[in-house]
Amino acid sequence: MTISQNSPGISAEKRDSILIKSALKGETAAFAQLMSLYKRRIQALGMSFFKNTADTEDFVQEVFIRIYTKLSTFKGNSLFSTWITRIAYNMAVNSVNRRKEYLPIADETILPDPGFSPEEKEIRRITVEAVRTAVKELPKHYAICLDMYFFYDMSYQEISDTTGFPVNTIKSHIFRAKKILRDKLEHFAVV
Amino acid sequence: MKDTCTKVMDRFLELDKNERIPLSLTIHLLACKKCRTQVRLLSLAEKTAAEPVKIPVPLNDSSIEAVLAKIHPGYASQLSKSPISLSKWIISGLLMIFLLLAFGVITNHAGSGRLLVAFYLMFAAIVTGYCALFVGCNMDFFVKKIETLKLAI
Repeated sequence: MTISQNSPGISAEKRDSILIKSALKGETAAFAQLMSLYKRRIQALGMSFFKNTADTEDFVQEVFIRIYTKLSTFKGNSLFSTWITRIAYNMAVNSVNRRKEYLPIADETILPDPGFSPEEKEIRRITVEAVRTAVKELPKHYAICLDMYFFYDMSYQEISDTTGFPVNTIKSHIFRAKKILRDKLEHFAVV
Repeated sequence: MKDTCTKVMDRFLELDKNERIPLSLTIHLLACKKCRTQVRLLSLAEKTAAEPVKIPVPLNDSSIEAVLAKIHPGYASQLSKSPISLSKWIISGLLMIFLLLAFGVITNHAGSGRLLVAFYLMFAAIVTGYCALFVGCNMDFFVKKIETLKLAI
């Protein structure tokens, strides 16, 4: 079972569903593909909690093994990406090796450049800067909410389901971050 | 920025991921170029921020192979392309045999029985240690060999 990342006419949800069904039938290649699609997400989350590549690597492997053993319990009530992020978040929070402070993804350089145009590159830089500014104004444990919204592409409800923080609190913190971003982008548009 | 524009932008900023833009907002955006530009830039900002974590890693990534080796050793052996090199073990084994034989020949000429017993004991200890180290360091190799044999049978 091989489904390309950019298969035309197939949504990420549908693609994941096909891969999960195949993995549950025992097709290891399908599970390998799921890992390939979501490794960066888990790795970035791990780096924020463990702050070193060795612990992060162990964390990534532990998370995928947990996902593999629990795959049959995934009912499709949420996106697969949300489900695995929730598992990874809970494992990271409960890990004995985790560092005390969460390091926002905005501080990381492990993520690759997907071939952005110069304008996109500049806008991403501004977004990272805006999120950093917003994080400084927040209680530390809320930094992950901004990361989840901006960098992990999760909705307010998905963030709340994952972290357990109230939706309205998440919404107001993200609103503040978006305002900072809008102000910074306003300068960009003028320039 | 006009009051209407501020209200419209605040309303836009409150929207969740993939939430539909309300009609009143769309109408304002059609008429106001400044707000339209801001909305375009904000949408682009959210898109570019989330893009890097969506890039898949190659299937032969080390952690993928490591996980597969744990959940399905047979599959991992299919993936591994570079065979395990045993040459350094063979060379050091041969060297060890040569040195032990040389030691044996020299002590035989000396004709001391006690030295010979000590030599045999040391020989046994070294061979045992060498074998234990060899198996311990190449555990993957043996596991894969056993798996392959099982599949062949």
